[in-house]
Amino acid sequence: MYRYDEFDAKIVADRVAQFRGQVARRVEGDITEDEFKPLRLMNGVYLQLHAYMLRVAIPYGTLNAAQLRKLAFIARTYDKNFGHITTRQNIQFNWPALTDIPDILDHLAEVEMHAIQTSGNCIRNVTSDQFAGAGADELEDPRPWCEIIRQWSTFHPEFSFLPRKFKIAVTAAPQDRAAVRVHDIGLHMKKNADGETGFEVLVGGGLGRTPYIGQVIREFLPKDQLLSYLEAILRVYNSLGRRDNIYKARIKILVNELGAEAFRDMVEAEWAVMDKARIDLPGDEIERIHAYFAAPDFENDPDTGDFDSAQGADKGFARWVRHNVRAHKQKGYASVTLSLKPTTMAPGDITSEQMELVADIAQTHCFDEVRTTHEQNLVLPHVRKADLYAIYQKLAPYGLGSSNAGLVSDIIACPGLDYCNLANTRSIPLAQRIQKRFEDLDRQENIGELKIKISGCINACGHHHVGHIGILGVDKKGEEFYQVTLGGSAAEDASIGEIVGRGLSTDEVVDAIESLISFYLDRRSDGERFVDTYRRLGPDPFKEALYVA
Amino acid sequence: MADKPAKISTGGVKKGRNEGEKAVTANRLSDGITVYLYEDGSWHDSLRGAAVFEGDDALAALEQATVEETIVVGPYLMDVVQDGETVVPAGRALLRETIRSAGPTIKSDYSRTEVQ
Repeated sequence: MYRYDEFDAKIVADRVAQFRGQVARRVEGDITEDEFKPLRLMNGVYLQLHAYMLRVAIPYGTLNAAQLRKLAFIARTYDKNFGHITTRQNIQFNWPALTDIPDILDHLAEVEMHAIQTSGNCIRNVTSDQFAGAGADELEDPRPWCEIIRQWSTFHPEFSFLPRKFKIAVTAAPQDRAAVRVHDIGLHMKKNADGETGFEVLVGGGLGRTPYIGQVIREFLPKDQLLSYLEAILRVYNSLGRRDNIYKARIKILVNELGAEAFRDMVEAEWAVMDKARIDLPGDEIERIHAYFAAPDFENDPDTGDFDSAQGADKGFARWVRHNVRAHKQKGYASVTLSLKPTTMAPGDITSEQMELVADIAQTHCFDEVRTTHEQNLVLPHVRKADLYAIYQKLAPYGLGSSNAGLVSDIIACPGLDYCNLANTRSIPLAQRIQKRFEDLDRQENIGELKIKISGCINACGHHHVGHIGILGVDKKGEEFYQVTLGGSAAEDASIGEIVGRGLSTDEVVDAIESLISFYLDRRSDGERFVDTYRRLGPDPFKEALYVA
Repeated sequence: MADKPAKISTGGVKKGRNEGEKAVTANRLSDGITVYLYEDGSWHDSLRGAAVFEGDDALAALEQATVEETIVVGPYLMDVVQDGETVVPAGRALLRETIRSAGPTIKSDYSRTEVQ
């Protein structure tokens, strides 16, 4: 993974010192809240219902053991002993005191972490495929390009005050695990007719109150021209994006008002006159960044030990392997999803003890690497198959052994009204009720892949628009209601779910979800996922099933 | 025809009108904990004994709170009712204000007794 050089270290240390001074001046009354608020937001500090919330950047979801242990220490020392993995692969702490945050940032800096650009109208944490560098299906590791974008976008003076926040995702596998089609810019690495690898560039995707799927404005961008092309897109957006209406300020609105073709023409015109050599990295610098992401020192075709026999002897392990273990590009290795979706915790929450366990496992068995996922889980990217059974046995006592990756209980949920100042309804308790209803693992396995995503308000932090089943909380005269959308997807078959009717009361909604799933089970053809059956049959029969409950 | 009661912020992005009984609530600057204004002008983390205002008195109490920037952040008027000697949340934002006063509903460890 990338390691800070002396400039990175100094930038982060200076920023912490600056924020320490800003907090002191705010507490002393030397600056007002109106003056302080944009400063704290630039350092990832929000004020929520009960407390401040600190969002810490995890660049493209990559962590090492020392960083995870430091996060555990922060959670234990300054919070309520847990952190929350977000849909931008970051981690949030829900209970820090403002006056402790400068110290927390100092601790983070010790392990090359920070909270810069995790809020505000700037380029946010670049997200990527959690199996980057490991997946058997990827063209190449996308993380060096994420790192190049991270360095280019950090404190970029031209793009520090954009019309609105800006999110970029990069993937390099045909199966899109990074939701690139619902990002402001999505970069999908592909090969052209000459066999060269470059980027398909999509713009104008996004969720929130006006969801859009991104549109392709360039089918193939040579890799070494990435930064200049991104800069051209950002310049057009920075010039023309609306600043008079927060609800119309995202690039998706601009792209869809102008039309993708007109927007592309503007970007290409801007790009044509740019001094690209000033912006694009020279080859040796690209190589230098790539060197940080060299493949680990894999053994050549290592013995798989008890991997096969343990699956025969332990059905729970066999189930975990079926759902949480993925093929690795290196023979004898696998990638493991550690589910943060047991029914006993809020989706995405992880305790200090769990973080420390995962850190230990990563250090011993996974080349010191851990990933966070946009679906609010963790991944051990490179594990010898021979070690999997021992790891599985260590996870269960810590509540990390759930065999539900990609299944109905692997729910994305925003913090909702239990924490969030903007939410209309709670999300976490509903997620837990659905998890409880479907806790039987045989039943979950029979249902197969099903993505349920829950947002507590129209800002859509729980990605409900792209859930196979999406659930949006709405406030009706002070009562919680939930509107269901069907047929959404954040993957390579991206689509925005359709609203299928009136909102359901808290008492109705879990029964209604069960009714939908029962209908799917009755009507599915061989091999069809829920979303496939929905797409084949259309909304009407599902709507009928939903409101029969 | 009498003027409608003044439009006010009622927390988060919500708006309402200055009708009925109100308490002044905010977050404590130092740690963000939810607090309520008491009769003597002090701020406490329990709603039970909060001062209750109506009409112009509520607006005046809010105005005073907004200048206490070294103590609290983002004061606003919330709907309340008096239940005997205790003040409790009421109105459209009942659930939001119940959660703010009692803590998240998802785990008893996170309840307000933990932070007091």
